Amino acid sequence: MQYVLILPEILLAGLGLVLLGMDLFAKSKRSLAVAGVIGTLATLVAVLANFGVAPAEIWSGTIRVDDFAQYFKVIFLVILGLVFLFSHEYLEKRDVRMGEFYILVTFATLGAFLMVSSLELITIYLGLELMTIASYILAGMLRQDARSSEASIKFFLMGALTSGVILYGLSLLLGLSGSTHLVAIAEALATSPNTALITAAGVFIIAGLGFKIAAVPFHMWAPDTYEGAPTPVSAFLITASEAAGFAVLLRILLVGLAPALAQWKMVLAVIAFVTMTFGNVTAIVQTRTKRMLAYSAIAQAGYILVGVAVATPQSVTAMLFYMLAYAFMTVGAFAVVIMLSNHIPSEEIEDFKGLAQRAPGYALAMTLLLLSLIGIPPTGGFFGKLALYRSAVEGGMVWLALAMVINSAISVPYYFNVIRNMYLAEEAPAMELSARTGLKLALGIAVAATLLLGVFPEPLVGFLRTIQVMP
Amino acid sequence: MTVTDWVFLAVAAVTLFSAYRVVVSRKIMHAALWLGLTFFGVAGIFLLLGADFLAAAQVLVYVGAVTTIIIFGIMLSTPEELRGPSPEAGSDAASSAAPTRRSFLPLVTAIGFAAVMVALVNRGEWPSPPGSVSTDTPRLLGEALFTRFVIPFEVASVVLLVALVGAIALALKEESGQ
Repeated sequence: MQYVLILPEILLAGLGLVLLGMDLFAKSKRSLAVAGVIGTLATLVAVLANFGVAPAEIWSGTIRVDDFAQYFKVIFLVILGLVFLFSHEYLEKRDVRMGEFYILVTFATLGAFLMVSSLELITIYLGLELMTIASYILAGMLRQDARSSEASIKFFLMGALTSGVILYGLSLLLGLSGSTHLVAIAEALATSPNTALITAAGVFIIAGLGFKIAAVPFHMWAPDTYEGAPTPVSAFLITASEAAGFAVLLRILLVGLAPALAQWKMVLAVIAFVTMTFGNVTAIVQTRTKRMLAYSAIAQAGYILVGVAVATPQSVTAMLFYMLAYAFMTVGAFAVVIMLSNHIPSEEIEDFKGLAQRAPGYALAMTLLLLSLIGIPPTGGFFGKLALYRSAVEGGMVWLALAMVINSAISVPYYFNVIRNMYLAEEAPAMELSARTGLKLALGIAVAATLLLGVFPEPLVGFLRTIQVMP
Repeated sequence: MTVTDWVFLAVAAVTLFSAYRVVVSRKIMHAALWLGLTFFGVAGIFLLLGADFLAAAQVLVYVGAVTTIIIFGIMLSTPEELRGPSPEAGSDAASSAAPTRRSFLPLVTAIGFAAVMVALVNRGEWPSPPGSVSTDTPRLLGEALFTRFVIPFEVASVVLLVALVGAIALALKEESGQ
């Protein structure tokens, strides 16, 4: 039974090893991407089969299998699958080592898996390290590009520092409670007289995880890293890495630090407010596509953080919904950016000029995804934002809900700037725009899922209501 | 204060001073050697806490392997690679601010942080008295690693694999003509 429950992790680790072996012998690196998609689908089946099983702590409590973890694993696998689908041509054109790229992105996902499927701090920390170490390398894989090296170095230095900060916070929790298991920690902290030290541990952990999810004021590495990294890696970091950070934040705050949760709500609400406002305001003035999307990602992290700050069952449900929708719309938008940068390497927003005439299908898809990022119906982004907004109002944080609405309005200009360039700009350099089947498929899946989540959100929301963060 | 306390203070002082020198040394070789001393100091603290196996592992792995490899890395790099672009390009203001930035700021930050943490830790009530570890630490560690923490242990091996793959991916020179 234990083995069935951790089958997803076993399959994903196996996929990484198979890719490692295939990389030695395969003549065409394309077969690695195909194997990757097949492996991802197999893992997805294993995860889906585990849905609805009674929550279980296996392997002496170092792995926890529950629907919360399964749901996040689905998000990671969706992202991993899409990355496998749309990366090939980009990697080929930019001369990135493909074998290593596919291997590392698989192991990074395995790290994310372990982060969400445990209440044991040691497993969570090792998963975090696995994911971030793989990400440092992935960010620096454009070796001819100095900006990619800069992205990797900045990410590495900040990441190593924040890992230290998180460990320091975790070590305080261990010292105060005598345990590394979040449930035992919560029990010990509930009666502990050391409020000052618990607060200190919380500060370190929230600051450290704040770095990982690129919340302001811990965001300084994010724009450079997201811009300089290879575009498929940026897509992965902005979605999967961030979602894993949020999952751990939820687990630690709502389970381990539950006795002290009340004192953190206002702090988190302020961080959420500052993060979304800073991200949106800065995104307006950007002229490079990836940098604009990087700041937009910071803003979106702010919206998701609202769910953590409100910390009610409704807000957690809204957060979970928004994170899946966010994964689809962001990865989809990056698919269009990748398609375009395969033809025009400059990656300026100007490149979108006249896209509607040259490739109406892509322009339409991009428009839908951007509308979803703004939060306009009938898209998944709209429904997710609405749910977050309602949970904030019901959770007594009306000002935060209001800030979300204002921020959505602020975000309209820069998202619309892309749409305007695609549809209204006169000059359109004549150029054949084409893409491989994988990228088209990835974009199609992303757009279809974004629309589906917007039009029929009820079944998913109904299911998400049953998910418990607490054991 | 007992003898152990004095020994601890001495070891801690050496560790902290050498860590500080790692940060402020202008020559990277000096920084690497100071780093080796820092690792020795940490091993000494492990020893004082009764973690004899950890202390031995710390010396073997960090002093013996990590520091040595760093020094190999320095020796195999060309001076240009180590120094980077020549400093003339930078402005005078940047170079005159450098000593303060390099030696003063880390000191102030570290002392301030330490003061806050010492105050907090002293006010706390710690549930278990520190320093009472069994003498048979290798057996205890081995048992914990291969029973209770077997999954994290396996994950650590994946982390090492990723580091290996990544080191090769980043460091290997591109074969020309491909």
